[in-house]
Amino acid sequence: MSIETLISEELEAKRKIEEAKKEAQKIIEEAKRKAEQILASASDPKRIQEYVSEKEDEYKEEAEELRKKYEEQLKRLKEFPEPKIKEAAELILKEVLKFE
Amino acid sequence: MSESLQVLIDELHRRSAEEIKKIKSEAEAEAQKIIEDAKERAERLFLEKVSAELPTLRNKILGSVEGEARTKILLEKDRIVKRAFELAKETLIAIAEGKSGEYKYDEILYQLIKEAAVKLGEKELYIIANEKDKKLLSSNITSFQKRLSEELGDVYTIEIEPETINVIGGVIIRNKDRTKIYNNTFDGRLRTTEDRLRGILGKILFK
Repeated sequence: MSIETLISEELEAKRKIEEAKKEAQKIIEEAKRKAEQILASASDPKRIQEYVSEKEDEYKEEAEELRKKYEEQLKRLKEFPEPKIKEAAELILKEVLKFE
Repeated sequence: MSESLQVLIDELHRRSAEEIKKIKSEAEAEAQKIIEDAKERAERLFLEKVSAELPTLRNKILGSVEGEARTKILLEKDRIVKRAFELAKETLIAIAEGKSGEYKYDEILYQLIKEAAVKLGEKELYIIANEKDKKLLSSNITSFQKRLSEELGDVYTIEIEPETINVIGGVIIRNKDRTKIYNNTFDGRLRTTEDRLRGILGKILFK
């Protein structure tokens, strides 16, 4: 083994490192390209529309729940007990006939 | 010489392999960070774009249901409160017609006159009433005057006006020169009570 071998090995090692650096650069470039695609997807009208439609369905379900809740409340009011109304009428009567 | 050279070459290989590994792993980490950052930024941008539309959409869908339902509920509550006032009015009509076992209408009529007299601060009272009550007042006028004078500690006179009013019952009282007037009819008192009690009744009935 001679000093030439050492020099040759060193050159080979430098070459491999340079190659690794180029490879690394490619990895980063590829990542940047993917990042641009990802960012572009944020403005994709189809994706936006899909999301809005999904939300619309959610809101419709929420609205249906709300409607049911109000229907229940309305039903209870329609079946409001007459004795309670009479109690209120008596209260009114007492007020009307209250003299100072 | 040869052996020590081999050691140097081995060390060279080890270091270069380490450096290559480091370069690759740093590149992969940086790439991953670039993609993660892009994903986060894209998500933020996406949400910014859609969130401008969503509140309007939600209000449109839920608002119409809520608005319509609330109107129906308010109308129903109003119907119940009106029904209570209607029942009270029916009882007042029965009282004025002398059909109530609980209330004596001539006594109520006297109290209405007394209260009006105090409010007006007058001793010469001119009474306007409906046709039926005019008759009742005429037959009680002397006793009412006497009682008023006793209870209020002064001399009071009552005159029944020839004109009549279309009310359930009660009286409108004025002074001699018509500068003061006091509406103490059932109808007027019911209206005042309605103004005063409507909100409170709602709270009592629908708590």
